[in-house]
Order: sequence, then structure tokens, then C-alpha cells
Amino acid sequence: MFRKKTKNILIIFLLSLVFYWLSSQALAEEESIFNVSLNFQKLIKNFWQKIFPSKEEDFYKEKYYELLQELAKLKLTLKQVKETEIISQREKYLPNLVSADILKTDSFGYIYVKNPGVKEGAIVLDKNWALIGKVSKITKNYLIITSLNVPGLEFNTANLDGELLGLGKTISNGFLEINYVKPETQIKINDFVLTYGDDNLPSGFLVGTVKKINKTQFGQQIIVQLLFELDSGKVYLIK
Amino acid sequence: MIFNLIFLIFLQPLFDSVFIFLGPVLNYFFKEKIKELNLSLILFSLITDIIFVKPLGFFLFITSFSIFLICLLEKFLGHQHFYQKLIYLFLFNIIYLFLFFFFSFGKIVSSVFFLKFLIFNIIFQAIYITVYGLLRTQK
Repeated sequence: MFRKKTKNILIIFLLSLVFYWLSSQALAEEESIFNVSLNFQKLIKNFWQKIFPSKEEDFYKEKYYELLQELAKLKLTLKQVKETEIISQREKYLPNLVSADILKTDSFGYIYVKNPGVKEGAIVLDKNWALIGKVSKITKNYLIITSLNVPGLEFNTANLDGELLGLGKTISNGFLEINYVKPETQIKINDFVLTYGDDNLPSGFLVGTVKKINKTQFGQQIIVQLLFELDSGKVYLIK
Repeated sequence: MIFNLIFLIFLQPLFDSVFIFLGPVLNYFFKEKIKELNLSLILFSLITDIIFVKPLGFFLFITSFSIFLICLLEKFLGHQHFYQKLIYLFLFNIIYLFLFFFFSFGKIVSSVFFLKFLIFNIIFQAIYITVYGLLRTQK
């Protein structure tokens, strides 16, 4: 029995190795299957949502979150940041903005959306202009976005004054950590964090708010809560 | 088989942290049902490829390799008792998730992320195997 089982599995493993290799070579032909699958998964999700609609508690949670967001926006106006980069980014990129429907979001942080005709590496934003991520793969019918929920992404970050905070690294579940921030850098809880420089991501996009500050022997470690949300079912891409 | 298929197609899109197809596959592995194991492994892993949008054969490749390693371990360990099954599940999931993360991200990116997947999957598989066993004995 043991030998038979091992032999069987070994044969399947060898066959799968060949199949996997061939499949990776001819990925273009698989696209239509995956597109059907993504649309089907969207249908299933909508179906479950109709059976179990969001509860009253969720409704109030949403309201509370909306209020928090409005407060955050008010804070921005109070600080008179009209001249800061966020506003200028809006004016700069607004004509090139296209919206796209979300087909699926997975727990690894990848988002599958319908392809509105953008190039690889395009920046993806949510309805509040918060940074979601970057387009990592383009296919004929859909595209894959690597969101900031994918762990291990690195990019430079700055505060609202445009001062460099340090290299931020995504740690999944909606958080980002910035290590080795200079001890003299003044930073408070709920401060906004933006992208900095033009390395992995263009500068001046809103990433999140400061949630926790840890003092270490090498300086400060900042934990940032990401601000983007996908509830609207739409994302905005910069062409 | 049909129940598992429906379970996989309609529930897998909602739970991305758990690989549902591993439940029946491991159940057949412990029950020493080789034919069913092979058939469900091939069929379910191909469906899972499509649900997770991976190249066709990806899950078949990593699952069959993990099961093959576990088969070799069977020479040294027995899986007649429940606590041994748990050791099996633990070893299988570590090998499986290591391969999954390695081929998906190119590296093990975050230990917290890995741990979350490990715990969720072991709990799901343990529940599946126990419930399936209970239902069978009642029949």
C-alpha cells in the first residue's frame, strides 16, 4: 500500500512538473479561462452579499469611518495644504485618470480589475485619492494590481512637510512600518504619511496615517495604517 | 466528490486564507484511498488554480510534491493516531506553504503572514477530517 501510494504520487508530481512548466510558457491562452473565473467569482460574491447583507452594526461602522475621514479632510484644510503636493498631484494627474471595476481581491493583497487600457506600472488610487498600489501585470481582459497590502514592498516616505521619514516596508493586514526614523524628527499620532522621491512610486501620494511610534536605540519606528479602501468596488488608474 | 466540488467552487472565492481542496485530499490520504486521492488531487487542484489565478498545474505541482515528501516520511512515522495525524498536518502545511510562498512571492516575505496561513489551514483540515470521520461512523 505504502509503495503504491508513493509511486502514484511521484508519477503525478512528475507529470505536474511538466504541465506547470508548459502552462507557464503558454499563459496567454489561459487568460480567457481566468477571466471567466474572475467574473464568476464576482457573481458568487455578489450572491452571498445579497443573502447576507451588511448588518446595522457595519452600517454604523461605515458611518463612523466616513466621519473620521471627513475629520481628516478638515484637518488638511486647517493646515492649509492647498499648495502642498497632494493638490498639485490632483491637478497634474486628473486628466489621465480612468476608473476600473474590481473583479476580485485576495488575502495576499493582489487586486484583479477589468483592464481599462493602462500600461504596466500605472499608479492605482481609491476614490479619496489614497494610494492603493501599482499595476504589476497586464493581460487582455484584466490586470493585476500589487496593493500596499502585499507584504515586503519598499518605498520612501515623507511627512506632510515633505521631509523624508525613511524607507517604508509593507507588513500586510493594512499596515506599513518605517524603521530607523531620525530621533529628532517630530511626528505625532494621526499625522499623514506620503510617498517620497520617485523610486518605486511617484512622490506626494497619500499612503496612511501614523498609528504607533516606537522609540528604539537606532531612532524611531513608525507604524502606519494604510488609508485606501475598496468598498466602492472601483479603483482609479493613472494612464 | 460532488459535495466537495460545490464546496470548493462556491466557498473558496470567499475564503482566501484557507485552501479548501486540501481538506478532501488529505482526508483520502489518511484513509489510504489512493484512487480517490489521485482523482481529487488532479481535479480539485486544477479548479483551485483557476480560482486563485495561478498557472494551470501550480497547485498540483506543490501539493503532489508535499504529499510525496510526506509519503516518504510515512516510512518513519505512522498516522494511526490522531496526535500523529496532527504532526502530519503540521509537517505537510509547513512544506506546502513554504512552496506556495516561494513560488508566489519568490521568498518568504513575512513570518506573521506565514503563521496566519499555517494556523488557519491546520484548523480547517483538522475540522474537515474529524467531521468527515464522524459523519462516516454515524452512517
